[in-house]
Amino acid sequence: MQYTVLEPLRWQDRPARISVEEADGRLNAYYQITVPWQVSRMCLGRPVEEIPRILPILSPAHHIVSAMTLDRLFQVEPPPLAVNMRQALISTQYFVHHMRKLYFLFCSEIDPFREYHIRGNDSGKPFVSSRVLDAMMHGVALAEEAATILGGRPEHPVSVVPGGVGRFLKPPHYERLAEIAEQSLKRAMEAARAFHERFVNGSEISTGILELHLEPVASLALSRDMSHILVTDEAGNEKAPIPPESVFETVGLHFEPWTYQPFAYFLEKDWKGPEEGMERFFVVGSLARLNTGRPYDHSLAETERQLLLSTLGSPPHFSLIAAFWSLVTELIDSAESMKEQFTQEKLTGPAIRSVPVTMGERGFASMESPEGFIAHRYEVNDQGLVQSIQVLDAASENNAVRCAVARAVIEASRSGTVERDRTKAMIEVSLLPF
Amino acid sequence: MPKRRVAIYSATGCSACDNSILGLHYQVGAFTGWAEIVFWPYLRGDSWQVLEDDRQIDVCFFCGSIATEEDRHAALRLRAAARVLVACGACAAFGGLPGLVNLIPADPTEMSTSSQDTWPPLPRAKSRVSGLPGIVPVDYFVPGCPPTQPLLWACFQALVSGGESQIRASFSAARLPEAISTAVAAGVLPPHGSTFAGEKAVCASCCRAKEEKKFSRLYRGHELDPDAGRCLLEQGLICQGLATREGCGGLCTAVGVPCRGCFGKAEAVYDAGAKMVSAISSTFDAAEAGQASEMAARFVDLAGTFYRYTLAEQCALLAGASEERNDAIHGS
Repeated sequence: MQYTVLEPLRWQDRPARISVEEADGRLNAYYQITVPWQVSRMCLGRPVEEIPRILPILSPAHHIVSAMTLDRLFQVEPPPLAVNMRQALISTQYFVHHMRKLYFLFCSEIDPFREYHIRGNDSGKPFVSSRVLDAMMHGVALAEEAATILGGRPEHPVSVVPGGVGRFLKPPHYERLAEIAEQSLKRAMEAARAFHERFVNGSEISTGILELHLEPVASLALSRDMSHILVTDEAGNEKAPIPPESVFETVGLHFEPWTYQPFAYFLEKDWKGPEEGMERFFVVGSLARLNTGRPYDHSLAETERQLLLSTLGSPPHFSLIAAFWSLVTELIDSAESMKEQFTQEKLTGPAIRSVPVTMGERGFASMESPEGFIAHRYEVNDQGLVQSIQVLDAASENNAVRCAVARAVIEASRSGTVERDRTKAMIEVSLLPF
Repeated sequence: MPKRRVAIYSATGCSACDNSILGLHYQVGAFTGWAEIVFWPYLRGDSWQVLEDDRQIDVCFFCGSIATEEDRHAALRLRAAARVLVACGACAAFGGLPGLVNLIPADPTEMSTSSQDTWPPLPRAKSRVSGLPGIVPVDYFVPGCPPTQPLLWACFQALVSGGESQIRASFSAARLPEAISTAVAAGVLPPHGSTFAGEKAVCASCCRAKEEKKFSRLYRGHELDPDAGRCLLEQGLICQGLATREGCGGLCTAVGVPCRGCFGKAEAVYDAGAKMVSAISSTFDAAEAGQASEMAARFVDLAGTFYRYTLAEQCALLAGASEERNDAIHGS
């Protein structure tokens, strides 16, 4: 038996590694999250209104879906201004998340902290120019400034509360937000151009490091009106939609002893690991949203999506090119959303919150976060303390896909005798969109 | 002058601190002119082999809490390798939100329980999450969840550039204690053990007007739409600001939500929970003991509120708590 460990993996939200065992021509590759993330234990016994302050530790979008869960628990409707501010905050989160992913992709073959004048890959040619890389991160900084105005803090927002948001904006805020929206769209289009220059030349695709194709798997995404969960199978056929509030009865979580990250899977099928097939698993995020056929309301994003489809064909798609290109498309969409939302008209109004007067026993909410579909369900006692909490996050939902990606890269590298560092880099890039 | 060798490591935590440092690089210009990032697994994929080099790390920014044996070994290893060790972020400085798990025992069904006899093994989870000071001596602290950009930049200026950077005027210097801001300006190391944040409580920099701290009713966060501009505690909301170190500029209170203490206890506070209990009880506007009892009965989850980010390292009641003692308490 031969054992290999590839670590550390770049750009992971939590420390991770790949452990490989080979014997008699048989190969097993394990994608391991090596730190426990016990969010349930952090939340049990807490006042339920504090949960939106705790769960952003998973990702910023969990702050918003947690507040939405409390809207249901406390049976309140946020006023229109609060809804608009929440939507605006979500747009900044999409922008930051997707731009950062693309930045990591463009930096995958260089060291971004080498001195500017010698920055580049080993061949001496810049993968993407320093100017573009800096512009992308400047875009992230601007979007984080917008997230701070709207949410209080960019990475762990605080301002979305049960029934609304915590404060009104003032004229300097929405004037600044409008400036940021203009700049953000320019940055998004610049990133899109860089992606095209590197990987898409007319109808020809230069995959380079993005040569991997995933094993076909179901795609899951929330409909735009949030009324149902869309599911398409590995062939792209629509399956029966799932009512969002039934998701915890449809999707279960399973722990394997070799990783701290649970696996989300369809409960209608008995548990088997991803090494035995992907029929019980699904993918979420930008690729899933592409595969479930969600057109965009914004013209530049929809144009980009149509270009993707005319180049790569109709969905479903399971290539890395499609996964990253869907990030590009959504980046443009988020920037156009910011332009639409960051206006005085949308960000002013008479009320920012509805104060609850009653409290139920349980609450549920779900949304499409930048990482993918997420859902929360809480139960409380008569003091409003959390008695039970269920959280479905994108890391659990994509865990099986990540394992499959790692195994596929390892198998491909074995057949072509790819050296270790290159294999690790290919795994890291292949994991990025998920 | 040779460039300072810098390491950035994340143990058990989210990636917010790493991304804050990454954003710093691009927001305030490249610091690669006077610093060399030699070990940053999150961004560069550097392995521990880098530390086999006999050249020391000059400054190590350690992010994340200590939740596994692997985290603990990383802390020991980086302490040995780094001339200066900085606890960066609330998780490293005090245990952070992961420290809340210390309040209740683990549910075995929710945790992977591999052993060293199975393959591939997982790092063993400790029964008690701790911050970096619980494992090794720490030279400096940059609190926050995550740390704010101005304070991170001030820390880099003070500890990494050492007078070599041409951009040494930190716009956060006004909020730093005099000893640190003087050191930053002079290009020398600040006093050992310094925290890159203010010395006073958040109230000193909170934008809300403070009048008389008296309230007759405690409100839970969802029960009140507070008056903008007026102290949240005076309106009956539990705000941790008066026990929390300033430096964030009152980010949370500015958007209408109470402080929850991610900068740790203020310099003059011995224990944040004790401070909050005494301060809040002294603001009760109650003519009779019965009224005060009724008000006190509305307080829930004192430990999880007063030690939201600091339970692991700044709760005086748990000072000296060890993993063995935690196992004895929870019977595991």
